[in-house]
Amino acid sequence: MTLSKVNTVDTFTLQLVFLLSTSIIFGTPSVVPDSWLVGIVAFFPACLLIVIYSTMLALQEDRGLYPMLEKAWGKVIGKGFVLIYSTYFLYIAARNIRDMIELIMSTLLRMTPVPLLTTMFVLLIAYTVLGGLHAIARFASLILWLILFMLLTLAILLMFSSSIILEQMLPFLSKGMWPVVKSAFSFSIWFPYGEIIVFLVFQPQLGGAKGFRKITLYAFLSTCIILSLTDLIQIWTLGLEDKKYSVFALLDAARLINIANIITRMDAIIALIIIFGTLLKCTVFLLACTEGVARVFNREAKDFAFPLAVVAGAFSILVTRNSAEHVTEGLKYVIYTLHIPLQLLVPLLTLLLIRIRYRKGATT
Amino acid sequence: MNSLRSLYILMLCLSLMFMGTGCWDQVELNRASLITGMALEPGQNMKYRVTFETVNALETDPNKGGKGGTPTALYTKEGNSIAEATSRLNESLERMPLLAHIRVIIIDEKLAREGINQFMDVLQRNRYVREDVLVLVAKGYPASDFLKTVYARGQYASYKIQTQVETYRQVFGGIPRSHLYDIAQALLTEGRVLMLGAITISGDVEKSESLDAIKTVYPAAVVRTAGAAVFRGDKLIGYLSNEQTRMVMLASDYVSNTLFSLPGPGGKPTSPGAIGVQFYHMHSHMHVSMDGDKPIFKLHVEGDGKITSIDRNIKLTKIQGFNTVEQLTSDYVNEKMQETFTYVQKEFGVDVFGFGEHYYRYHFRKYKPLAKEWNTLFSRADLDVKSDFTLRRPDLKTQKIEKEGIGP
Repeated sequence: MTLSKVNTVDTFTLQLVFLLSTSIIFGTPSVVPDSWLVGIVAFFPACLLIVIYSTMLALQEDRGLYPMLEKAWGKVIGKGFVLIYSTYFLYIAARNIRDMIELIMSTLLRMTPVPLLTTMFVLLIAYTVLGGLHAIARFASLILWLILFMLLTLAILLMFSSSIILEQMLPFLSKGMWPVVKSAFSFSIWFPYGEIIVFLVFQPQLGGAKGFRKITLYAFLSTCIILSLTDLIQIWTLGLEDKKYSVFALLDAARLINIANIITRMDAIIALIIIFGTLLKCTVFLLACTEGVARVFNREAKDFAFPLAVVAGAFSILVTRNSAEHVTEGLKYVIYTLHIPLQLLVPLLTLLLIRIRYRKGATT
Repeated sequence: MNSLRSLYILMLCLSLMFMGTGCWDQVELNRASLITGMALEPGQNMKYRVTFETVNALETDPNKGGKGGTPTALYTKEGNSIAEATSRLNESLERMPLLAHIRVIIIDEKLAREGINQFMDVLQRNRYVREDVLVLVAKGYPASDFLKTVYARGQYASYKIQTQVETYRQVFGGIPRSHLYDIAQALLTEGRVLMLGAITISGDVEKSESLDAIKTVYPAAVVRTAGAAVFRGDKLIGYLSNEQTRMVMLASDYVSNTLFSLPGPGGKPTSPGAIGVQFYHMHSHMHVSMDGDKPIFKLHVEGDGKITSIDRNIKLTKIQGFNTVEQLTSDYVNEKMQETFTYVQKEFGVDVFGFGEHYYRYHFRKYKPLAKEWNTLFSRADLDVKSDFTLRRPDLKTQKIEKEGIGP
């Protein structure tokens, strides 16, 4: 395994695409009227996560999440945690595949059997995983340009079809600031920002603590800006009131594009954004998962790529019965049972344990 | 071994490729039929009666022309929901119906009076029905009659209606923007009520169903626009005329292009000496405030245009001439706006102008306690219209042609 570092720009694009991919569509739930503000509010507490993660990295010479867990918790419990994290990453990958499939099934391919689509998609993911982190990071910059270009196209087309009405974002804060803050804390910190924890796994190949702090901060900031802008575009075109009712608000916004009755039905743009984004995000999760499993079972990580990809695919179908269940699970249960413990509590405890077990000055 | 393995992989990829091509819902073109219009009426035996207009593509070809058949065929189905009627369409039709090209949806007056929100969902939810489909209310005639009126251009009725309504809205502004999307918007937004375009028929529908009807220069029946249908909640309560609709739309800043005909001196609309002014860019701003429990609306209309016709002697070489015409226009528009406003207040008592929406958006905290009773407040509100029109040029003549005489 080559341990040469991925360069900074590639790391940044990788993280940015990772953060943007599914949250462009499923980003902020429209439970509050001013959903565009939620992302901005969530940005600041999310930076605390950066602090926690980078302290963890700094404490033990940038070795990555899995060695760190083993070091803090001991061999056996540590391995248990490694497995838990691997499963967690696999589960998120499965959920993201499901997100994408939901969108595709309700917009592009209505009749195609779901297992077929999923199979093709996971095979693609597994193949990308085999490419390794360097290849994925370079692939990310391509996807980033694609996503940004398409979002820009969308905004411009909407503007020319005079669908953007700024007035529709008013009244501002009609329910007060509290729901916004609540939504930011109970949702937006953990998804997408908290999911950055997966990058701890790759730290040996990325920048290490110092780089992580800086790059992730920039990535968070860019994500915050882009997500708020897409949210604003949705609100400006659909209106505060109508946005609540759409399953895929950005898609509904794209449906309104109509330039002189010639350029219409640009919903495919959105589908493309989500397909590419999900591909990258799932690849990152799957890569992290394979490395964890490989560590526990002492095998080459590459051996696990295809089997685990197929498991993720199967799981994405089995995970929920319908879209309502999928959304409720994602917005409620996953946050409290998985995201908060694994993104905040376990890292904090690990940090504490490392502090206690290895005092300052004591070498590892 | 290795070559066998790559063969397997190749086969796998090929089979996946063929299965994933998206042909699962493919329909041959000669087995599909475009649905271009829908007319919704209350049913006799079931809840709804839906009339579908399907296109006979050969006959609508503008270049080759058809064989003299009808451009469209209408099928009527009953069902307890619109979706049921649609999926039962094949009881009479042999081809697969494609809903993606619906152009107009015409709602019967009776159905509209019962409330339209009970059946709109299927249209809003469906991915194939476009958001900019026109939804119109059939005034005075059964909705299906509108699809039955053929006209001389050989195109289908719904195409004619759609183009007519859109063009009319662009040129004169006498019909509200009534896309499918606007319905959701109007029903959801606080402080504004729904207005849909209304259409009616002049002439004899019975004769017009046959293609013989268009072999005369004067069509037996013509679909024409009839202003706006006003709703309270989602129930139809009445109609505004074309001119009133234009004023309402002007107030809510939806009209940019229109023509006003200012009556000549004498006070009557028919008195000679009318002046026609054409505006290209019109804008209006509203301002709402409360005076005790009486809302005060301020409306500012501005426009940019030219003089199209002038049937009395006003010299347009002088600044004074333009000023006079601008003043006349201003007075006329203010008066008409005021008239329409009082008419709406008296007849309907609902805020079709969107003053409430403006108040809701810009003064949310003040609007919130009034939300429930806004329409009652609206009916006793005062409107203060100010307009500021700029006429730029007189086209090609400086004044009405008139012999000046050389006498003393």
